[in-house]
Amino acid sequence: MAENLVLKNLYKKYDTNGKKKQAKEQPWAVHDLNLEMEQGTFVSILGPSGCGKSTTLRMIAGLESITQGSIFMGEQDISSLHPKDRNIGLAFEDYALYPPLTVYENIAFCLRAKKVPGEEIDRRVREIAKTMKVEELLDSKVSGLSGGQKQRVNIARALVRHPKVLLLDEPLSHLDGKMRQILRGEIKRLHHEIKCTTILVTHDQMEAISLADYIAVMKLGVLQQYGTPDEIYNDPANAFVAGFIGDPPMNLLRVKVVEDASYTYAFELGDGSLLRVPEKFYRVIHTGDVFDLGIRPTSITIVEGEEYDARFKVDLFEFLGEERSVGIQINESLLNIVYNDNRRFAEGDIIHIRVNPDLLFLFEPESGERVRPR
Amino acid sequence: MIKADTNTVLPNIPLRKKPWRLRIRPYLILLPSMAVLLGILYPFITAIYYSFTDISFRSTTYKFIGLGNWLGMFTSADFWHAILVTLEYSLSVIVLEMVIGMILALLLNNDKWYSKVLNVVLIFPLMVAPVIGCLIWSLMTNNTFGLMEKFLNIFGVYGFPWGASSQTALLYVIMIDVWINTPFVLLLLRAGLQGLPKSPFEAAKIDGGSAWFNFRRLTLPLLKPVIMIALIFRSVAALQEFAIIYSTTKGGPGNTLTNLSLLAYQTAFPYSNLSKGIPMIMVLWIIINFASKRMVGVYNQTRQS
Amino acid sequence: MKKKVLSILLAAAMAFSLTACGNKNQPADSTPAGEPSSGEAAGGETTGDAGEFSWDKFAGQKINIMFVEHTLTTDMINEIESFEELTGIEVNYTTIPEANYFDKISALLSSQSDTLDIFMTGPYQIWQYASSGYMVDFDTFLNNPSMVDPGYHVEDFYEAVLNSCRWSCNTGEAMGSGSLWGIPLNFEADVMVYNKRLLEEKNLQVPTTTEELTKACEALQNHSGNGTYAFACRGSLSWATLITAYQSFYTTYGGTDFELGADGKMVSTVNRPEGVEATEWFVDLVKKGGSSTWASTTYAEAVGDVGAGTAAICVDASGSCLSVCLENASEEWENLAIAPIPVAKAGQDPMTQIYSWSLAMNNASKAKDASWYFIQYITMPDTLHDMFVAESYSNPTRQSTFESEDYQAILAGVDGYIEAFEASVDNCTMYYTPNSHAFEVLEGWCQTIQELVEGKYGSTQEGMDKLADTLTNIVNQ
Repeated sequence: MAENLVLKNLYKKYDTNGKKKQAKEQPWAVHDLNLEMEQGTFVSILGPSGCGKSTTLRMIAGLESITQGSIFMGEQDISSLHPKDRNIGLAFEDYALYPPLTVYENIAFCLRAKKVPGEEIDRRVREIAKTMKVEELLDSKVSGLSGGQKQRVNIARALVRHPKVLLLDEPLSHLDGKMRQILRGEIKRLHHEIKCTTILVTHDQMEAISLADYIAVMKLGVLQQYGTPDEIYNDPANAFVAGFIGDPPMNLLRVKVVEDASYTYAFELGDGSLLRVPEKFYRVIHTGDVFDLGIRPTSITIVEGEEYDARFKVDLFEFLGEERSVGIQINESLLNIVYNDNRRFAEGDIIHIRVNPDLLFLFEPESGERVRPR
Repeated sequence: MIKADTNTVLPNIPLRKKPWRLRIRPYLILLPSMAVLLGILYPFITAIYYSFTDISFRSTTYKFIGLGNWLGMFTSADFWHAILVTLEYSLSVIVLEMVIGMILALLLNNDKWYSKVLNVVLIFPLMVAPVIGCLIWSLMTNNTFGLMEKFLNIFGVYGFPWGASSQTALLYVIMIDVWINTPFVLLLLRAGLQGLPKSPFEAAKIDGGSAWFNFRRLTLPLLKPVIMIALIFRSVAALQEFAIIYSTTKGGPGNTLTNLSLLAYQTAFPYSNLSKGIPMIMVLWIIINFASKRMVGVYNQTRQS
Repeated sequence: MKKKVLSILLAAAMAFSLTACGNKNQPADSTPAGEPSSGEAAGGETTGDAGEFSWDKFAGQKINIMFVEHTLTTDMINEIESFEELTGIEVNYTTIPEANYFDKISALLSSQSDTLDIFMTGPYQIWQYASSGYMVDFDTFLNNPSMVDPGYHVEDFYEAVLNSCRWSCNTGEAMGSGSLWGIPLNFEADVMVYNKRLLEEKNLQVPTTTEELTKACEALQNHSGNGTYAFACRGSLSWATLITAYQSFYTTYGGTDFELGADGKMVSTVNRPEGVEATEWFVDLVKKGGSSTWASTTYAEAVGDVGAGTAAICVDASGSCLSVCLENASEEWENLAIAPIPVAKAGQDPMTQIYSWSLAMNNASKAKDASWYFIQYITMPDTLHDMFVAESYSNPTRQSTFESEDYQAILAGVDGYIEAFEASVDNCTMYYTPNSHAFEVLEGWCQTIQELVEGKYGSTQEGMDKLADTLTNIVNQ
């Protein structure tokens, strides 16, 4: 069997130094996580702060103990192995470079620790330095490097030992815009070159979507959805995933199903306006049901003609360079529409909109579960 | 619309002199420490002056005698022996305390229960005044009822001479000094260890490497500034150690333990040769000055990297 | 840069100006040693005119005393209140431990400070301070009837003891005559204390000669198992080590320390045959019968060991030897007895070294008469008697105290003490030659003996020869 990385029923609770009562009240940092990652794929663990993604990564690395469950690499159970024996490479969020040493020594550290002979150390260090484009920096001290350079050295250090799994902990979060883009491209190129199983932890969904083959979305320690970027974007499993992915974020509005003379079924929005219910939902709704309706700002078109699905009054208009944004206040929420032609609207203008029915999503109000059309 | 003028040259307004009240403020603030400085400088400078005279407690008058005391000191065997003792004592003590302090700091740098207890208990010897510490030790090593004596009896050793024999006296005072001062080194090094960033050490965990390897290549270079501080403090203190040696053997047996501080005191006070004792103290001052300047230089270098 | 130079110059200028103020290049205007300062009107220095003696003549004056931590100090302090009431003189005092006492006194006396009026002293300090002119001659008071209470009875003092405070201040001349520099409070002769039980167990007689002592010690070494030994005496590096046991033995062999050469300079005689023989015997005794920690033993530890039964015999000052024999003063007190020190040749009288603690007066004092009154008050027959009985203290300096009933009762409980005391008191004198480098001399001597015990020299003669050179150089500095 290929060297797939499998997480089985992983649980993690943080230690409270033996105080039993406190331990009972602690929340689970990771709760029943099951994940299988094929060898050579690029997986991203995505989620907001506190969702357990870094904890999971550290458990894979061996820096955190596993409360329950196990981790397999291929056939081998690595759950209780020492980090240095797990064949993984970890690139830390804060780079964690060795301050007193030069770049060369930082990369060579693990090879020296394993007592690899001098010429081989030199060859491998220079090889990886070339890959990560840090050759000129080999003799510099790490304290003088810029963020981007440090990150490259960080990754170089993780790779020099030819790990089976490369772990990246929020690699781009401390870099500025331009550097972020550059390094993102580097990581993508790197993955094509080396084809090593890579796990990237991030809270930035753009990063995840652009780099990963598969994305695991987590919230409060629980896995929400595991799928390709396309699936996550276009077929979210629940309201959380739907709202988290996509920039600008999806509009989620509370609606009630009503019967209407002109439409048969309509969604009644908070401010009373009505939106026609697409036919595909007829079989799953009843009058009086309450749902959360999800629609991306880019899926709403503002039309001129008589054919429209709803009409609203403009409350906010923003000029965003490439795009324009119109905001409509509905009770406390804002319905956001984004388009990219030159029309301008002023506050108070009445607009007509059309919605692509394929791009409408329905979610249960309490659980957030997706209501799929039948 | 307001235009922005991007080519201005600053006008040349002459600066008014600050009122004298403001100008004098820095000097006023410094006045107390200047007073202390004078309090130290005055005896220091008069002492240098006295070293060229024949002043002593034996008479109420004195006269200038030039370099007599200095030359006499450099040609006396007692002086060179004292320098030897000073160096022997301070080197042994410094090395032992730094090594033991480092080992203890590394071992106790965790949250285990024994670390919590030991980190408090091990500080106690530092809180005891050296003279009292020596008294405690002399009671413990008393041949009739001392704890150490009873302990050695288990191994069949009776009447161990401790400070009474020139072979064991140096070991004895070194042992007492290490007992009193290692906690100081331990405190400093522990503080240093706790101030180190945690993630490089996690990276080192993954990189694999024996504890000694990680220590030598990662911990030690990072700790250099703190180590230098501990070294500077201990060196300056050990070179001029007086209390411990005086309270145990007064410099004996014979002149086995008479270091420069003791020799200077002996010459100046009990022997009433004040003007002969001053050059010795001056030599000690020069040694310590030189040593500490070099070490502070090294310390500044370690701060830069 | 300019500011830096300016500040340094300023600091240096201030320092040197202060130095100039404190310069003591002019000779002191106090009178040379021995002459009374009569005729000067400055602040009550004069001795009173002839007339009747009365205690309240100097009411309103203040005196400062520095006591050393001594057995009698507490008693003297207790007397201050009644003294103040009787005379109207205000007394301020401080007490300083013996180890640093003379450092402080030397500094005060040599700077001619008038903040010190009365201090305590031993004979060795008298050599130094008197020859430097720091002390007041008490004969000036004693010979003036208007200054002496009729009940003082200076003749009540043991003559040998009183004379131990006299010195003419002439180089090479022995103590015993000349001006009286101190009024002795108590004195020390040396005696031997031994454990009757231990000697009986080994069937030994009380040794009376040095040969018998060596034999007894050979038999008594390790008498009760490991760690116990025969002979305890002082050995720590200090001048005090050489003024008790060692000196008493040295003298009975005929050893001397210095003699005055034809050119008026002192020459050390420690390497003469008698001195070498005495030292060799002593070193041998320490090696055969002494403790392994002899070189760090103080008098307290020496007698303490006898009191605990660790040592069988001790030779030391009579005061310390007596202290362990008193009722319940130590574990072995019932078995302890006092005897005279063994002598080199049978039939000799024991020749013990005297040490005394006296009250003395600063020559720079501005309240000399008031100070004399205090000293007189403390050494009145009744006061001295009360202090000695209260402390059960040994060797009072007044015969009346010794002969008093209650004091005799205390001594009677200690076997052999009275006889030993009476045997030693007349021959008890200062055998060392007075010189103003006494501490350096004695400590250097002690160092050599420590080195001889450690076996650092090829022979005793070699060690003593080296010592003789060192000592000659020291005294002729």
